[in-house]
Amino acid sequence: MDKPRIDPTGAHIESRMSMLALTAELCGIFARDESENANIAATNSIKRSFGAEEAALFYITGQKVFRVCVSGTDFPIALPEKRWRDCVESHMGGMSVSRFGAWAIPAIGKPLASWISVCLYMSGDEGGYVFLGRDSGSWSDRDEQSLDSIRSAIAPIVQVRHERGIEEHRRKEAETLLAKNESRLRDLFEGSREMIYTADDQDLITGANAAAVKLLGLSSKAAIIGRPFADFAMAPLERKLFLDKIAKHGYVDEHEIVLVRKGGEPVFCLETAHALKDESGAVRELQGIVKDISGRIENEKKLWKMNLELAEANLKLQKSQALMVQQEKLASIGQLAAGVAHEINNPLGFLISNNAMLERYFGSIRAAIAELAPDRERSAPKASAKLERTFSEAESIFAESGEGFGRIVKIVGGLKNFSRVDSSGTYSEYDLNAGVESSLVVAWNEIKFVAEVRRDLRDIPRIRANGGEINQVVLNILVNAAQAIGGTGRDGKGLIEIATRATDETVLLSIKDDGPGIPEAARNKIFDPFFTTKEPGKGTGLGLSISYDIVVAKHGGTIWVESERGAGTTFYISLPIAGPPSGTGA
Amino acid sequence: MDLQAAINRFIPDRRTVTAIGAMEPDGPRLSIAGSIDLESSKPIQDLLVWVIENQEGRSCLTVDMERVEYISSTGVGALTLALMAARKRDMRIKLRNIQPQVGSVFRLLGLLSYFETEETRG
Repeated sequence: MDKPRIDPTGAHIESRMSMLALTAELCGIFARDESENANIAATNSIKRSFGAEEAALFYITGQKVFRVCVSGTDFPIALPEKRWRDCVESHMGGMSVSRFGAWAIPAIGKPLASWISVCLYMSGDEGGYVFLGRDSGSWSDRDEQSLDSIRSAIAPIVQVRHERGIEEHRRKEAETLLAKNESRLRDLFEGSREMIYTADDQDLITGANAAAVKLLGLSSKAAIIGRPFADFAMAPLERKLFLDKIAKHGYVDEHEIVLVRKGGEPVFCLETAHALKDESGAVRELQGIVKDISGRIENEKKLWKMNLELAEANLKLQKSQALMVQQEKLASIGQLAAGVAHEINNPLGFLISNNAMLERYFGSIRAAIAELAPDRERSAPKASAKLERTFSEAESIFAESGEGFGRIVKIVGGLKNFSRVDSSGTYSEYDLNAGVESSLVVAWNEIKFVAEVRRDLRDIPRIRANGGEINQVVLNILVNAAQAIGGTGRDGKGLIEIATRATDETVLLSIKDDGPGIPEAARNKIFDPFFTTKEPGKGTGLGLSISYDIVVAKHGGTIWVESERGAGTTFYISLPIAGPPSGTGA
Repeated sequence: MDLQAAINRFIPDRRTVTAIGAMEPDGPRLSIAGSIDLESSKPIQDLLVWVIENQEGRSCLTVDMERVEYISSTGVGALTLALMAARKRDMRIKLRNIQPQVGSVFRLLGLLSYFETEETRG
């Protein structure tokens, strides 16, 4: 700041008094009016005090508007930045007062011959400037000093005012921004299509958006706020697990929860939430977003169900296909055996008759020799003895052959009876005892070395059944029994006991072996397809399954098993005498 | 690889879920504990499928659910996919001692009836 100069003349004192008065006036103006209008009043005061014809105040507002206040106008004028800078920069020499010649404020002021200007204050890189212009006479050194002293006196006030303006503007801007952000956040919260909620440390809901009301099927937020979140969960216990997790980690991502809508409809949701904690680490608030995923779950559910049903159907198909193949195989074996038996039957017929004929011829020859040579024992004792031996051996041969033929006849009959080619696939009168016998014939090869067979076949009525199929069942159980006994590797033979009984409406067949018995774990599975305890290659696991199908499904009978570990197994088959009830089997 | 080694391989991280293996008369048993959620469903599924594929000749896989406190739909999906793998081999899956809140997720998805269930708690 310039030092006050000593000027003995009164003019100087007067000038100083006038400047003091101006300073006081300007301070008054700025104190009274905080708006930009004060600048107009100040410009007019300066113009008047300095006896200028035109005064102008150039400044930049807090909002970065480039302004000029021209004396005699009512409002501050906004200038384009370039024009504002052109005016200021071409006529200013740093902070000091400068004087220059003819000029006019472009497009606003009138041209005047002499100008004086000063920078009132600097704030950062920008400042405020006073311009004074007059036509009559140039500006004196005293004017220059006066302007400088005014600058010194009011610069701090103007600067503070200016900076407060900027501050004010920034505050307003920040407030606007804040208000805008708040409204945006509120819109985000309210307008979100997903449920957003806040809850306190007790998990009581403190805030919820419109989507929450919709998701829970309620009519207003009042029905949500203040209630424990667990009230809306299908499994309130699970909510505790969720809260434990959030307390531990501070957040939970994509936790699936089933919420219950008003009316009880469950909704699958995914929740992502975090906790706000206080300094001690205790949860103060929960904030969560809950997304309804029931649509997606519904689709997945359908897909899973479809795949499961497909897997189930596939398995069934595989099983029934294998069953069919096996059944077909058994049936063809039976048919083949019956065919072979039939083929054997004819040659067997003439073999038997030839054998009988031959035996008769031998008898005739023997009688003829006795008649032709009655004393041969004496005349040729050696030859005669030989002849007698031959005849007696031939007799035993014929007897043996007869027995052999008899057995063949029985086997062939059994085979024919077993597969019952003549009545395959139909239900007709069937003698279960005869079926057992023919099955024994077929199974005999399996049984004869391992077990004795004891029969207790009572007088039972004939039943209506598909004999070929029932025989298959009996054969299967007989072969199983023989294999069970054979598998024990014991010394000596086991025992198979076969019994038949009749009740009022059914006949009952039991086949008991003294094999090792069926383990308890396997007992309820033996009728399942493919279940087998036999070594690979020895069984398909289909025999009993097919038997079950024949007895239960086709004949309306029952089949069950009693077994004791180490004491053997008994299979029971009960068949209705009247045949399958209508609706069952064929 | 035995059952325990498989468990260690498929569930190395035991934070959310753990499993213990054992043999029962009709097949293996896995006792699961913890939460079968979005994160742990996949390892559980892989473990179950491995067990099913490596227990030739066994008719049943028992999954003891007594200590499963939480299951998500993905968890139910994992068990369902395991069941599909099992059915391909004509094997059953038996869910033992399901907690009510876990059972209700199965029921909501309409999938409980496809599994065998068993209660051994008194």
